[in-house]
Amino acid sequence: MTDGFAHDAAPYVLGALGPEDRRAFEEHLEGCAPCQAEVRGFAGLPGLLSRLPAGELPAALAGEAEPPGPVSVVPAVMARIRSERRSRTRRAVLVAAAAAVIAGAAGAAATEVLDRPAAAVAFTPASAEVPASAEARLTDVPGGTRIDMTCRYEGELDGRAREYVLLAVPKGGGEPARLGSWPVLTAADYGMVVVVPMPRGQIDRLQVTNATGRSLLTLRP
Amino acid sequence: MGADEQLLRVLHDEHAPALWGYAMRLTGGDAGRAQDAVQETLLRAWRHPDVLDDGRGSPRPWLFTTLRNVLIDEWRARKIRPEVVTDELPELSTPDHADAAVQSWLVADALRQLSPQHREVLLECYYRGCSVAQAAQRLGVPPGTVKSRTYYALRALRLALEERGVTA
Ligand SMILES: [Zn+2]
Repeated sequence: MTDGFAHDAAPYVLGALGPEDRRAFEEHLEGCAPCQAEVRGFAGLPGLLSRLPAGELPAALAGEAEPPGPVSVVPAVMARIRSERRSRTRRAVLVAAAAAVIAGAAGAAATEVLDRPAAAVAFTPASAEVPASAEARLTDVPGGTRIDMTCRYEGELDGRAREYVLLAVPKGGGEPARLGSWPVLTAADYGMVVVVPMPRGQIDRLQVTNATGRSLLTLRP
Repeated sequence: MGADEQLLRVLHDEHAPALWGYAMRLTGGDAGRAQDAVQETLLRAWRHPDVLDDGRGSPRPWLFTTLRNVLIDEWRARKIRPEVVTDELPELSTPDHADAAVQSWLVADALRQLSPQHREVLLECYYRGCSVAQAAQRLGVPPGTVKSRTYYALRALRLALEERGVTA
């Protein structure tokens, strides 16, 4: 930009060039590609400037710094992160206890692992719209199959109560076994350990459904 | 825990003042509710570390949108309780225009970042509708200076808007 109109594109798009200046610039513009490019580059800005909310003009243009909050919210947020972690751990322990009861009923030690644990496998979502993901590891244990599942809710947390359910569907079309349910309240991973009294080979699929029974995620071992 | 706290502090230092300003505006100056909303917004950002991914550009649009949603949810919850049914928040009562509302706030946020000289020349040449000659007189500088300041002001504004994910 070495021509005499180097900066005219800006006042031009804002409508601030006087009539003579404007005429001269428009004549120049016809034959000057760099100035045309400048005009194009600025063209959208007046529209955006016009969208400044009413009442914001003085504050924004005076460059008033936003008043700092009365106190930093960092300690409060950290406290919530910690308590979220604690409740996550507590939930996991409760579920593990429940699993031990189930395994006890099956007359076997819940945690005795016969095979090396397999790698965790991801569930397949029913559609691209499903706002959650999950993975599970299935291990043969005396009396059944141990399932280590982790589910993560990835949708917007809008305060609505949601509940997810984990089901094991046996091969041959038998009644699905309800392995547990959990409320979806936070985006933290939800972990569940449960022993289903079914050999791994008899499990057709695991399903995560919502409270209405709609299947969201499926895993075929 | 150390890494979480560090991430949170960086997030806070960089964005809390702007979030606070927006929250104060949306709550009509209610410091308590503004603070709760900023807190909830930062917590949600911490839960979604991908929004802080450098490759995704500034998290400002996401943060402003989230803050606004937090306040809309809170406002709806209060409306259910009869004692606060008269509570009016016209800024928040049109969630359909969420994008437009957040965008216009991002424009204000971008303007705040410009130098005083750049803001001043935009005030004269755009918002007051002055010509270059009139602005030159009001600001006591030559017309050529008004033109070049306007030019650099628009460049700086365009950059600040791009950083906030706002494109014309
Ligand atoms: Zn030119």
